[in-house]
Amino acid sequence: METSKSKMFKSLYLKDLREVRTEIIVVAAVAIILISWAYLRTDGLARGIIIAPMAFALGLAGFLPIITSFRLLGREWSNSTIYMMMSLPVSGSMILGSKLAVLLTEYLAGTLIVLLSGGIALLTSFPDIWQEFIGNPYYIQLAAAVYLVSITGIFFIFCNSFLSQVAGRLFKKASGFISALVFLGVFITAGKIMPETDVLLTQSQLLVSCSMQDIGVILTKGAIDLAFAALLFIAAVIIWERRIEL
Amino acid sequence: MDFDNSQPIYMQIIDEYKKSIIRNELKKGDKIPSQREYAQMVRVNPNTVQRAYREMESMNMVETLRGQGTFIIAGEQMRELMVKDMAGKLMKHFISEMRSLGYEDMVTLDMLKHEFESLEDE
Amino acid sequence: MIDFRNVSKRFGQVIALDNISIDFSQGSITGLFGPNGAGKSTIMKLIAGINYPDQGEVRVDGEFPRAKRQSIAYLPEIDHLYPWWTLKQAANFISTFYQDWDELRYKDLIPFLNLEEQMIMGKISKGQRAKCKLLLVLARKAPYLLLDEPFSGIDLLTREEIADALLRGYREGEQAIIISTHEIDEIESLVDKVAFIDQGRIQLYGDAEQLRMERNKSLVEIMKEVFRYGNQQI
Repeated sequence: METSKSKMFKSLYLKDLREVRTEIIVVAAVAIILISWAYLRTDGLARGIIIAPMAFALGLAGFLPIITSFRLLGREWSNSTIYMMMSLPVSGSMILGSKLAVLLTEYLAGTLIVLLSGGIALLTSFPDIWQEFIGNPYYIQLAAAVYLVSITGIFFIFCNSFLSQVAGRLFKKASGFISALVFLGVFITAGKIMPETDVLLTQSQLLVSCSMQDIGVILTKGAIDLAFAALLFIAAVIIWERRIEL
Repeated sequence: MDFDNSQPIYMQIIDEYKKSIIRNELKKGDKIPSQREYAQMVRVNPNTVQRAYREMESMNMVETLRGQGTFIIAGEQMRELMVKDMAGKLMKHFISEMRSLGYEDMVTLDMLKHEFESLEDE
Repeated sequence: MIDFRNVSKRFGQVIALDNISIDFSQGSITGLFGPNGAGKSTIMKLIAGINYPDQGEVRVDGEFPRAKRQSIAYLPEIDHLYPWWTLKQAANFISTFYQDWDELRYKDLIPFLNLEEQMIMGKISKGQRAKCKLLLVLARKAPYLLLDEPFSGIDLLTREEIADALLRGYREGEQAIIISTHEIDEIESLVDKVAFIDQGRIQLYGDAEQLRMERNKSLVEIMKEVFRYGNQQI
């Protein structure tokens, strides 16, 4: 039988994608129901209220994948399928990488559904504001940059989740507690290492100055998140490949 | 087929073939199962079967022809030797069992005579 | 060849393996016999590369076990298949990863083991699941086949089916099969090498036929003798 790395990755990805189907459907249902409800019950300027269900659904779309990140890996142990995963002739980076891709899929699918349904509702309600937004490349770039940084941010959380879980698995007892400690510890440490960028980000988030510089700052923050995420991922892979025992 | 697990299995396989030859169930020129088939048939390790077949080859009981299979080559002469051998083993076994029961050899002989006579009467 | 050199392994306070040296070579079916907790599963896990020795070395063809996962087909004692998998899904998944997957053999063994491709792992009996696990390792032409307690908790008929499938798939000379079990009578005639393991040590190792010849005893009887003697030492 011919084997290839891409086929292996696809197999792993599709296997885990099954686990996030429900979450994606939940986010989509919540977004569409709440937004259309708000849309149908209001009219005129009051339709600005659509922002509220949108924000709620976005929060859900961002929060659920974090929960999933714990379940996706933890389930391998609770179902004993970890025996299958660990004995596959593939690197830890492929296994954890495929899971990361699944989580990213969940995040992208969820957030895009919310943004799309909310966007359509807002577009039809406030065509003028929409025109202005579309007409200004700065806004579009800013929105794109913020969305991109949200992805790098969630990547960081996913990788932290993986690292803390595999670190917890090094211990037979209290592995959940140790996972929690590592998870929080990484957040605190990372927060201390990157305070300056955070300050910059808070300023830029005010969006007062409306300069292209803000976008640069946001993207820098994204790049730093990504670098941290990569470090955490590498650490998780090393533990997976060399230290995890069953 | 059930083996006595306290005896080497390869020897029991050979004995099984000998018995078949003695009972004329297998004759010179008959094809016997391949080692692989036999191992699966009787649920025995293929190496054990291989050992039995090799032994039978060196005893000139069977012959394996490349690409054709394994055949019985033991003729009437060998069959007679096997019968004698088997009979000898049975006698030895019988005698040692009787001795272990505490019978003198002469007594055993008398008992045998009686037994034969009573069998003839039937 | 799989090579253990002075391997020790402990889990917390429990000594799982105590200075074990043994090798397993292609062309033989080795039985690892011993009571539960004797260290049999740990030997399997070390070969599968999901445990690491505290002391000593484990090598597969001279390399670290994890580098040779492509050559090892491992059937763990635990149920390691996703409960939502159908047999077909499991086979599709596994076949993506192993070059030695043999689709013909897979198809051949399904009816032989009285299985169906649509069976769902989480919804079938323990015996059927055991057969599915076996099928998925036997469908590979792996040089090393590790079966950890393949018969535990399985009815007699299924045990016979498993034994038959094992012999049907066995490739003499090219494959090393290691079977661990505490129920020897099931595979007494299937193995040609035996290692009796107790309390993390190999109490006796040898050729099955040779042992029968020397002792006029079955492997089951020899095991009882060995362990009685072994336990007296302590």
